[in-house]
Amino acid sequence: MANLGIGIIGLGMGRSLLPINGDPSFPATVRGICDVRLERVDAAKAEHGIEFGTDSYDALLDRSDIDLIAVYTPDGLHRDQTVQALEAGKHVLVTKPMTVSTEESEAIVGAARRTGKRVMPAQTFRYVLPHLTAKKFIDLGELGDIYFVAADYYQDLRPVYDYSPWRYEIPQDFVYGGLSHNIDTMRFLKGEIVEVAAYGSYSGLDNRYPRDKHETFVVNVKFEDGTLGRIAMAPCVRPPLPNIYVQVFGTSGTFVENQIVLDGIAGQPIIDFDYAQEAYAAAEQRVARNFVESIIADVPQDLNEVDGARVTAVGDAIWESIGSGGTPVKVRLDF
Amino acid sequence: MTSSSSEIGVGVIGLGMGRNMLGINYDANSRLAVRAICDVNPNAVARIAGEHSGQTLFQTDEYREILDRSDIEIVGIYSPDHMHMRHIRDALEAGKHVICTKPMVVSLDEAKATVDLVRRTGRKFLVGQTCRFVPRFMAAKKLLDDGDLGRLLFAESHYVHDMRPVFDATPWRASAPQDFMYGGACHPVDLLRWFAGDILEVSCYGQASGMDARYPGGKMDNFLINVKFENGVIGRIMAVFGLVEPPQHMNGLSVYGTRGSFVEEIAVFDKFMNQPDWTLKFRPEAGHGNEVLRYMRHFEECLIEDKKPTVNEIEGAKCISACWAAWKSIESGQPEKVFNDF
Repeated sequence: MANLGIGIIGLGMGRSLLPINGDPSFPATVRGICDVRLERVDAAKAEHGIEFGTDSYDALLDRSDIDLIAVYTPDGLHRDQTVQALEAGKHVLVTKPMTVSTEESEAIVGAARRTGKRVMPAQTFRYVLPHLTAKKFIDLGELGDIYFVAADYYQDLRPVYDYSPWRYEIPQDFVYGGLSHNIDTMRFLKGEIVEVAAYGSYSGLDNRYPRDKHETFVVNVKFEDGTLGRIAMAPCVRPPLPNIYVQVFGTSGTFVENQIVLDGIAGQPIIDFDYAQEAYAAAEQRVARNFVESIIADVPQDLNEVDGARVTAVGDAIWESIGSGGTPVKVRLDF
Repeated sequence: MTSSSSEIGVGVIGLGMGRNMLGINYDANSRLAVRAICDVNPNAVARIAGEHSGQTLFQTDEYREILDRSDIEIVGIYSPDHMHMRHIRDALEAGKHVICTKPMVVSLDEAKATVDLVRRTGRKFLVGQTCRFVPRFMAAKKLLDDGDLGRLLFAESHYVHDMRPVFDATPWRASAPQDFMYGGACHPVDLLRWFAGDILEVSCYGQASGMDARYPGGKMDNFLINVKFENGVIGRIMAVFGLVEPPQHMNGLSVYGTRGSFVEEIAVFDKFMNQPDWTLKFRPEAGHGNEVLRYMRHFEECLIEDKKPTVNEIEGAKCISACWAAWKSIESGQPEKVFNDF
């Protein structure tokens, strides 16, 4: 079986992929790593048996034993690093958000078409067990016609700021960096979002984040078929909820994160799902596996650059709606 | 219980939800006593009277006969939503204090008229927004009021209720039909107002689920309402009535503050090392009976001590006004300001 070479840039979140070197079933090997902090590089090389480590992205791209670059840097760097990798003849797995503007998305879509190389945005919340389960029940038709979908994102960002200060220093734009999780989860469960109406606010749970930005969002959405949905992001004291919490209402059943009720079962008992406890890295590795296996089998991967562009376009529409005082805004889909 | 001069007589119009009021007759600590019951269905009157055969109850199917009685000081209005305005007006003008089940009324004009009537008659008025009398919401409010949750960052509420069995029990909701923005969404709207204050603006999407053919086709029964509060906080409300009964609390509340989060019955506080889940356990309560009795006791206290009820006509009117703005937002496709100048 083919074994692809992976090069990772950004060992913060990117370290999630390192354990694949210890997984004999994984048809790829991390052969090179890159980070601006060389002490991270050296530690990862030693721990995971990786031969090549560098703080030079060019040096990583020069490696002929690397077929696929995994981009796990701060959001604003994704466009240039992705385009550069494509032009170096590499496929690119890029952490969410693929981009932070439609202009950036166009650059990536253009480069992918020009080079014939593949791009996969790592939208990990498609790959967590509750959302895979929800999708399965939708696809099986058990929930009937789906007419409402919600995906909410609540997280205490204070510890996240502690280990990734760039989020408040640059700062991260949470419509792209945060809501891209919810947006893609919604797209996964129901299809394209065509309209949004949004409010944003600065709640100020952690005042390291700039006061003139927004970090709390409520968004109502419409899908292509007229279905309604909604998403929210709220930084808060650790909520007693999963990070991303989905609800799916259908004509014959209701799914809420780890529970389901079906009309088809007499008495409509609440059925609980007892998912295995997983680290977040498990979802990252599932994304990477889908990408690698799709490349090897020469079949389309689950998500490509057009999906990434559409997620960002929903983000653009959310900002436009907030800027116009909450007026509904159409989402661009043609990429 | 026997009648005495220290008792405060109550008459009930509408014995569906209104029958819960009769529980007060068995509360030895209350001076309230239901003395008259009315329903357009004489069989319901006879049945309820039979269930309380130890009580002396005036029975009628004509509500004006209750308003004419001098031994009735409080009228409880539990008729279908669209009849509330008429019953409120007639009761207040007859000099009665009023407890009216939610929704107080079903339009902004009616809300204004109710406020004017209460002012003019000087009677006391309470809207039976039951959520304010549910223990887990009362606990959340106390935690917020006491500062344990800190400053409010974000809040949301929902009311999700599979109406199919409810249509079986109360067919008027399908045939009248009930307007679920007022009759349903008023619960989470009022709940959120209680925590976050006046709603400045709403942005709403609506949808007709078509889940039950008895409800008029094309009439919306599902609503997603985003809100801006006057204090700058944003929040949101989900009111969904065409769905398979979800595995959630029917009425739900999440309140996020700078010091803690409260979701349903679970609180997390910064001040507890490692932020453990802090799960509050409440004694299970069936139906709305306990909530009705709690607001009756509150109303009784307001009468005796001459205080204004917490869920008074102004609170009721502001809730209805937010619902009215949400309908307007659906129609205009734009965010709409909420009239709060009552």
